[in-house]
Amino acid sequence: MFKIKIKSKSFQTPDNTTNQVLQNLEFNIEEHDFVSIIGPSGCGKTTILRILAGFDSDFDGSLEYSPNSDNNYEKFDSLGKIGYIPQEFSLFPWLTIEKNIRFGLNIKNVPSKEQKEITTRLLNLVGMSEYRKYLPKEISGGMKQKIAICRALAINPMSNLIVMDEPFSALDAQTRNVLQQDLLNIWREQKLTIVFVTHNIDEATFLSKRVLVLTKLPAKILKEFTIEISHPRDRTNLEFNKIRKDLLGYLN
Amino acid sequence: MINQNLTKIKNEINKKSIILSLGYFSISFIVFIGFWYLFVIILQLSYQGVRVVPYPHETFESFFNLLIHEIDGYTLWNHVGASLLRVIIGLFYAFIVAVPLGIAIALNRHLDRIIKPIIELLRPIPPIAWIPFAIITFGLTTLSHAFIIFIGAFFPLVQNTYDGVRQSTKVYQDVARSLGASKPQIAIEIILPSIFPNIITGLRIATGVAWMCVIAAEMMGISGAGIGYFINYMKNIGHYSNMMAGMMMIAFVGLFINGVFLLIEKYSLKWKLGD
Repeated sequence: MFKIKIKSKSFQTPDNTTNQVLQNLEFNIEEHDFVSIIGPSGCGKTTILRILAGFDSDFDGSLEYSPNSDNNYEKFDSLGKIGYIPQEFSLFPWLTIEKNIRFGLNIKNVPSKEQKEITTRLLNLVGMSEYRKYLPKEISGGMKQKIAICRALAINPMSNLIVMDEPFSALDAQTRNVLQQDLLNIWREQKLTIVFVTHNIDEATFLSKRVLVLTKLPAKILKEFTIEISHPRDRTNLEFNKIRKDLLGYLN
Repeated sequence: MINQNLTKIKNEINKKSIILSLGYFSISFIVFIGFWYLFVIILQLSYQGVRVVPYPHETFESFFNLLIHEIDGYTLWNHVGASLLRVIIGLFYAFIVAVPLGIAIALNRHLDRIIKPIIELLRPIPPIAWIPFAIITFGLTTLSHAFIIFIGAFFPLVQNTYDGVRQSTKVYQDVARSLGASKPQIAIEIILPSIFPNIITGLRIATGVAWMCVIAAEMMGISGAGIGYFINYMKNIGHYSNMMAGMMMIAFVGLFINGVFLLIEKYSLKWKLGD
């Protein structure tokens, strides 16, 4: 269980005015959760994710973790301990698929044999074992994002938490649908906990257990939705469309 | 079967494209030589029959002669070797100073604001304008050459490295951090490989500039050997076909250097090319 509390987060613009990005924002992330964060563009979604991933420690608030999910929280330095999938294609282009996945394991000095086993398991998980020796430029955008997920999972993140910043926004609609389904499968099989930033309401409705709707700057949580429809979700389903409509209503 | 046919077709296409390239190359060679003859003839007519510039065949003859026969104890190879050695020395020093400096100022904002203005101030001074400075400072020595080449090679190298680090997509560094990489690990595992193409480009430009600088420096008389010295010397004694042969050698060496860099790029930047 994670708890994120942000009393305030601001940054200085080049002309030295202080810009308040986030204010009194607080939410929990449960084990095996799938939380989507949506909101108007530029509202600080990415900032929340960067704070969660530990890139940005310069905020007033705290990031806490309860190892036994028993409400005993301790301060948590998340950098290097949870998975991070950015919006752009982020595979290191000079490394092969396999070496990309092994990057974090190398950093952590995991024995080579174990690295091989982990890589094989993850490549099988996304059905890409024959692409081991390929370079990132030789595979499609959808495949790149799958490998990025493998790379994040390889370091065995705490509570299987990975944070994703609009990971499918650079993909065409069809590939995006396939990847959404793939992600759900991985999420279920691997018991992942996912925090997912998107501006796509349909995507949030299709994937998430919970959706947090943010306000404009300084961002606060406007509304929290819990989506009870079981997976796999049918986009033509009445309830699905009602939730989508509600979310849209809050966004406008 | 299909594969065999495919290879056959591929081979044939390759053969055709090689023949075609050779054809174009021959034409461009003939056009070039043609213009050269034409130029010499027109010049000769306008100088009332006095011929200054040698014909291509005379130049080629001198060129091949100079490869084998020594003048004052040196063949053309020796002169080129002397120049190249200077280039390598100067480039080496420029490389070990410019690349780390480029990385440092790109990563550190304070250093950037201190060093960048100095670079911007010195950059507009052409390397050739430093030659008199080099002569009075270091005398007629190898150090003088190295200094001129250093000046010429330094700026493209520092600029390309700097740009490389600046463009070295932040996202790779973020991902590496999220995978637990420390700052030194990021520098070695992420920044270095991602700026490698920029360094190669910088080095190629720098080598081109260095090659020009060494010839200019030799012509200005910082030495008693080298291809620039040779050209100038041949001009002074009026042996123009030898002079032109020296120029031809410069062209060939330039082509060769470029080819070497293309090969380096082809093999070391496989991940980047054809993106």
